[in-house]
Amino acid sequence: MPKYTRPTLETKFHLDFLWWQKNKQNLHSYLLDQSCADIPVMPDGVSQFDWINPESGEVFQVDILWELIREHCVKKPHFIDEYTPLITAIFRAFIANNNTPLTTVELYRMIQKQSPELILRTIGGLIIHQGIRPVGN
Amino acid sequence: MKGSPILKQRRTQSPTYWQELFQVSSSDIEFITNRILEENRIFSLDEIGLLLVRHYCAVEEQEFITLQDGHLYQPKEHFEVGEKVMFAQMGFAAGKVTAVRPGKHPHYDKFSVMQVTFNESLPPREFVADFDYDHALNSGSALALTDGLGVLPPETIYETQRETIRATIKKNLDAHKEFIRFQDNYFLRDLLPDIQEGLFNIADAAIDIAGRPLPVDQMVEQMGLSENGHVTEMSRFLVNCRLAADSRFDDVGPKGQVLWYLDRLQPPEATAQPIRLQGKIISYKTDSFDSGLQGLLAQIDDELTPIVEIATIDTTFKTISLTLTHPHWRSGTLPLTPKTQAFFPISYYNPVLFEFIDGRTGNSFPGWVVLQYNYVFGLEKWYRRNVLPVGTYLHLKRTNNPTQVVIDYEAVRSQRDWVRQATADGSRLTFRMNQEAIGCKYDELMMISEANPDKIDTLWQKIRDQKTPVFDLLCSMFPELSKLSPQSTVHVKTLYTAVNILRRTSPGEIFHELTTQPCFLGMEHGYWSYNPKLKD
Repeated sequence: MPKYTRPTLETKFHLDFLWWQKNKQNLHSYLLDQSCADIPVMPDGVSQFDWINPESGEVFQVDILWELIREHCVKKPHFIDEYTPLITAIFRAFIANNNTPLTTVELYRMIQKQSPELILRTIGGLIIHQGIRPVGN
Repeated sequence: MKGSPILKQRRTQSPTYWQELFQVSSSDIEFITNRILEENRIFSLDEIGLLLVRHYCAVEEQEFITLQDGHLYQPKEHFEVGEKVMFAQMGFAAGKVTAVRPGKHPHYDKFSVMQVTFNESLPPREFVADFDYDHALNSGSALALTDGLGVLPPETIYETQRETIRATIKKNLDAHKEFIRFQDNYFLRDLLPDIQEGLFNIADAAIDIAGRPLPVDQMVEQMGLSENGHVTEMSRFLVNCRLAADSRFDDVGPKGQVLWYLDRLQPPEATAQPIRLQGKIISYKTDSFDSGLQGLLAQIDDELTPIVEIATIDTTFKTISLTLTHPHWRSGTLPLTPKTQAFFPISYYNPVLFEFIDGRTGNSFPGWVVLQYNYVFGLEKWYRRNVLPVGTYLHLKRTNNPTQVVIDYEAVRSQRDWVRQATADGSRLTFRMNQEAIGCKYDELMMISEANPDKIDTLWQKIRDQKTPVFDLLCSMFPELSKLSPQSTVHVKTLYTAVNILRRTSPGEIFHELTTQPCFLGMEHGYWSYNPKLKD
């Protein structure tokens, strides 16, 4: 069993696509919840694309909605606002930066919610929310 | 050496490896033996440690070179099925390409996705290939990827993990009889010649005649073991090892110096802790201590106070003052604390003989630093001669010679002061105020004299045998001491001395009882009162 290491303010987090696959979670449905009302229609016959990890080159087949939201919805003023729940805001921050790993301090700067320490307590525990977990775990 | 069961990684780069997994194997022993044989010289523990770390890194490097019949991964490269690939960003994990397919991305036209298997028992993972676009791993050459990834050189690894590696090696080498050690230097036992018994007698006589410890070089010469008039490293090691193994001789030199002395000329206190100092470092919680008590904890110079409880002290001061506590007054000693230790020559291997210089007369007399038990011995006669009471303010001063330390006190015109006096009365101590002649400055709160030392010794032994708890002693002494004060309060320093007259106790242990037992009530400035009704 892998050893649990308590994350710190220096620990980088990301969205683990493997977590969605392993836990048989419906990423498509969750991404739909993040999309705005006027999101462009998906191209015919294209449901997934090869998402490329910007640091390691690892590839995950991810729902095409990810890319559509990233291109279109993230530019909307209410994509992350004061009414967006914390976990949703963190998830959306990772969509916006194409899942580049971030510390909770960097996340805080992006979402301006609570505090880096509270974000760390929320996503740094043993329970994984929406695949958000420390890089390397 | 153990390999990672899943991924081929540079284990030497991980601190966890050195801290938890590193063991000296039989092949390592063979490696060290061969190196000593080849070079036929003495190796220090640090040299052996660094040799082993270099050896481990070299073996590992060889494993990587073997693996490099494959590619170091870069997204822009082309890979074929069956090819070996190493991933620098994943701790040099090595895998095998098992499939390649066309990639699909709305922004990139043509690239491939390859499936890589790292271990048969794990599902394969996919990586981008033929990807000639902007990517962090595409900049520079493949080899450049290994740069700046924290691949530490053996010297840095050893420097950062030195203590752990040294301890592991030392433990292992000491368990192998083929090695002989003096302090932290090693050689092969079979290669070291014996010394005739007659030479030991010469060594004994040489020290006896000199009447002082002799440096190892002088011992080598006296024993006729120098080579053409030169003292070699090997003859020095030979004499050190042989004398260390003989119970007649003891090394009494400070760190970095070997000085041989005769065991029979040493006082017993150089190796055996005086009975009045014997106590345990008890762990207690300091959360309940207010800032006043925390300050007093650092003020009372007691070697039983854990170092973590004492604020950092500037060890470059030329002079320091300390207050003579009861246990040290009784034992003719001084405590070795973070405050005092920097003033004395120490050795991690043996007691150290040095000289006290009397600050009043300039006369010198021997002192012993016993780091093992954190005390300095040799002051019994000096305390008695100068009639110094418990609580005397003592001063230590450095000299240009690290083996000479000046000790002094502040003399005043002899005056008759009213001081607390303890008397052993049956199974308890009683206290009264008594007028005594005192010729020095002292801490009035710490000072308690003894009316009948012999009876106090008997009572002390009884308390020791019965293992009377500190709380019981406090409860029996508090009413006696509080009657001497109009406010019926007692200062913690007075309680510390009083308790230590009957039982070796650290200040923290006493403070812990005071702050956790409801019958004690804290007043201001370190004073406490006692309510016997709340005792139970």
